Amino acid sequence: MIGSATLAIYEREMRKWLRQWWQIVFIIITPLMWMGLFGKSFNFSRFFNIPQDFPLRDIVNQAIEELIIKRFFGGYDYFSFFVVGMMSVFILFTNMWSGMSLVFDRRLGYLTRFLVAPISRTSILVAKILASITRSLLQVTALFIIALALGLKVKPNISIADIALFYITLTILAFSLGALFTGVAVKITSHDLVISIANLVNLPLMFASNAIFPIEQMPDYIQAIARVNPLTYANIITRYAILGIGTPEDLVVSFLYLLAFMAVSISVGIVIASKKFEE
Amino acid sequence: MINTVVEVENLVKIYPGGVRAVDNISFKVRKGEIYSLLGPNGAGKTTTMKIITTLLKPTSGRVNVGGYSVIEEPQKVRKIIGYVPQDLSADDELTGLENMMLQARLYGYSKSEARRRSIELLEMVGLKEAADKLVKTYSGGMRRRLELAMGLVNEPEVLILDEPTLGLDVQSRIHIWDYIRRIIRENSITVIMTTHYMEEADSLSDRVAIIDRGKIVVEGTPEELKSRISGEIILIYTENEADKQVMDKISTLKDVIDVDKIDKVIRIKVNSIASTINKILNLIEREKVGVKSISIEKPTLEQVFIEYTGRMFRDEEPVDSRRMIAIWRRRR
Ligand SMILES: Nc1ncnc2c1ncn2[C@@H]1O[C@H](COP(=O)(O)OP(=O)(O)OP(=O)(O)O)[C@@H](O)[C@H]1O
Ligand SMILES: [Mg+2]
Repeated sequence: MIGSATLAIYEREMRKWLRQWWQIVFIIITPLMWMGLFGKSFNFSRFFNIPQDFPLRDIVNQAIEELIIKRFFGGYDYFSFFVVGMMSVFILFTNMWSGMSLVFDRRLGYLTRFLVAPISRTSILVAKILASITRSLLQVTALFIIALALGLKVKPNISIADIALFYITLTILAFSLGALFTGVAVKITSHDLVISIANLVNLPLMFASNAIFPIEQMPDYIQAIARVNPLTYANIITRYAILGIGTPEDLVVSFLYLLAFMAVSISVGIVIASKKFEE
Repeated sequence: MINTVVEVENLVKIYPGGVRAVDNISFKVRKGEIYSLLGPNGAGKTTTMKIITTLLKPTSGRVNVGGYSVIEEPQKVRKIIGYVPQDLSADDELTGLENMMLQARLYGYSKSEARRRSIELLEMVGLKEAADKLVKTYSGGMRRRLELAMGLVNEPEVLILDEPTLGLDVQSRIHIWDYIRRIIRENSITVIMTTHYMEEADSLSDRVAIIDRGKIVVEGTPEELKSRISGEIILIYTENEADKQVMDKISTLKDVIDVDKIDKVIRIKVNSIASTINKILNLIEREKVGVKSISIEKPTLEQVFIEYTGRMFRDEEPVDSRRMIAIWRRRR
């Protein structure tokens, strides 16, 4: 159950966010550059540039398409593969900062207002996490629509259930990351440190996952990271839902993994946070 | 029966790192009174307030608010207190009304109740016109008034004000005092406040505790405290320098502690102005001393502080320069 205090704090977070329109512009433009630059320039079929006068050009091109691209990227063009995978990365990038508003509230003295009110400490955190999830899901929705315009090809028989699965998966991921990073922010009072931690984990988590490239072709140690990286499992599900890549078994395993990850991060978040809100 | 609302007993707070910010203080605040902690920077006032408001855990000692222990039942304490922290706490990016409403909703008011109560309070502190402006556009005085209104949103039994007029000019300070007086009159709230403005403690409080280096050095009503300073001072500005004979006669009057003279000013220290002023004036008239004007120097809490700590109030000046200042005062 969400208490009225949680709701009030949630409203405040969203109101403040909506008031800063330039922030909203940036959370669209930056990922758009990722999608445009990476997604389009890594269009792998162009890597195999067969000379025009090569006699078997068409056959070779087709062979490359069949044998390499479809096998690697599950039957889809690279842009679609990449864009769907990046959605979980954007969820990471946005929820990574969920703790930041807590750090600033502490800095600016506003946290005092919450702490001195007869509300549970959890309701403050839950409100912040929910606001962060909302923001990231709105962001992903906007980017998804833009990606469709840019050439994202969804599976032909896509249903409402698939879309729901896509959102549920990203919500679980967002909630886990939000709980983790908000919990950490309770302890950390310096925003510099929060920035450092975020910068430390963002790119490694993105690259050591299947977001940009299938993990089978990666060196062993990167594969090892990718196999525990929740982004990998989120991507297996979202690609299944949107593109139809993968098997139902993979889907179930990945979903269970994400649920487990959520349980662990919420526990870790609570443990860190409960190590004294007060001085 | 005196009804104690806030009870602080043997309170000690040692910060990590070993700073003994509060060093075994005890006091009681009665229902409906304004109790001030007066002390210089770093005295431990804010630390004490933070413990009373459940923001900080004491190292040892007992603090009860409205009968609830701040350690065992913090949520119950939070319900009945209003807090105006020393550091401004309103959200810059929200309007005054939004700040108030959020605050009200944290205390369980419904949206419509929250709005009604917020508007009422904003009106009371004279911010009705500015209610829909972002707080970052407020002046310092407006911000302080908003903080005060935010502290009152839950109709608290105990209002805790930590330097409610810090950084304001005299005008705005007097404004805030008026609001505080009105609030107390209309709601019979108990107030604990801290300040390092002497005049503030003097004019607002029913009782004052002077706190220095984590200890309460003396406590009482402002009048009591000031009366502990031995004597009041009468200054008589004469047309010609008074002669020795007159001076001697004055000094033999009952209740006169000390007389001296700087040029054309006679400075008389007395036990009580009320019981001596007539006698002194009669004597001066008999002796045909031409009087230009008379002034009375009332003892201030500042003198009380100096008396009890041996230090100047604002700056950490040693006792020696205190004497210098006393001399300079006389020469004025
Ligand atoms: N978080 C903290 N950690 C360590 N020491 C602290 C902390 N907060 C305050 N202190 C120290 O405790 C002492 C008392 O501080 P406090 O803020 O209670 O004083 P104050 O009377 O409110 O002063 P001021 O008039 O400047 O507000 C000071 O020496 C201060 O340096
Ligand atoms: Mg202070």
